[in-house]
Amino acid sequence: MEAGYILAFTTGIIGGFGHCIGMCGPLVASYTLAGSMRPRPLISRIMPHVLYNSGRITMYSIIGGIMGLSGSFINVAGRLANIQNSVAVLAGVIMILMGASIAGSGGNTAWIEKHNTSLLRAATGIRASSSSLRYFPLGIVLGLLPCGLSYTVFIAAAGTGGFSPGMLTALVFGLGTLPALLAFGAVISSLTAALRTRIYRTSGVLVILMGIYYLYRGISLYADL
Amino acid sequence: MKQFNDIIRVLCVFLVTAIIPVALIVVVPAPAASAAETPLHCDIQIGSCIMKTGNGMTIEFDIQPKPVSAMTERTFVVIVTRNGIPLMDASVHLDLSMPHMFMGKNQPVMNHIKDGRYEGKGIITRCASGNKTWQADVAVGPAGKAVVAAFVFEVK
Repeated sequence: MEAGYILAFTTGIIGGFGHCIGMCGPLVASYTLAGSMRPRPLISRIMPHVLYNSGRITMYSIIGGIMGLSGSFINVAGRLANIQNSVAVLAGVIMILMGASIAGSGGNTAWIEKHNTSLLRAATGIRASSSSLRYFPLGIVLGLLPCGLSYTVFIAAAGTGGFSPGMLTALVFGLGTLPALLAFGAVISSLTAALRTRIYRTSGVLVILMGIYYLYRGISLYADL
Repeated sequence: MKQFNDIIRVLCVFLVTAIIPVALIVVVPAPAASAAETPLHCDIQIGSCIMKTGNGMTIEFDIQPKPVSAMTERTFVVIVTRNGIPLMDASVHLDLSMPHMFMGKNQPVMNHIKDGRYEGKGIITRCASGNKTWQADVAVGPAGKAVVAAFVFEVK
């Protein structure tokens, strides 16, 4: 069993750099760029990433525990599919809203009010909050993003046959992904700290484009069902 | 000079936020098993994939039932013969990976059923990028001396 945990952790480490940065890097960049405009000390710049990743890993652990308890990846994944696909769309919406906010048109919520779905309300709620603690629930929600690499680990978690070992398998995998995503976030934070006022609006457009890509990806997942 | 530094910083941000993630998706290969033979591209949705190796061995790979979809349990089938004779005591290992994306270790356990036919159950996961190309590395023989046949296919 210990070998399973080591394998899950190694998968997280390797996947963190080869998979997670590629798939979730734009998302990390988005909430970093959308963060406070005020100059902040390093610890304050890193904290959103710590909180976001804590939320993400918490969600992985919960799913891993449920997979282990049920003993069936297919049954749980089937039930989660619609939620996960909604979260994939939600991620795109959040990024577009963040991008619009950065670019200076975040105050125009007429379109959102017109299309007042629960999905959009959740997205605007997360965006509107000024507390840095919001990154933890953001990580919890986006921990549900469909991800092939985490699916592989959840298959292993389902094979453990118990809530605790399943949860632990997913937890060590999540911890393995931490170095890559924390490092990525720290680099973005450091670079943007010196540049915020100059590139702020430009980066808003970049975030909107990344959001559109995420939205497209999320809608494509529905088409695959 | 200050403007030059700012341009460099903007380029760095662009590099980190856009180019590196895309490059990681496209360039970083999955650490798949070393394949002795050139990967064979085949349509797994229609039928099985067959490769003849240099030492007279024929390795047939199939996934059932069709259509082969991601996120559903499927039976992976490997049939091994040498000069037309079934290999019944071979050590068969299957490794599933994506050619351009690390997806973790996905290795269904293969058991001999009869007459050189080996089967194992497993799940091909779905990649959120939309990429549906997978590779199956079938290793036949003891570790280090195994003949590896690689099959590249598309899932639905």
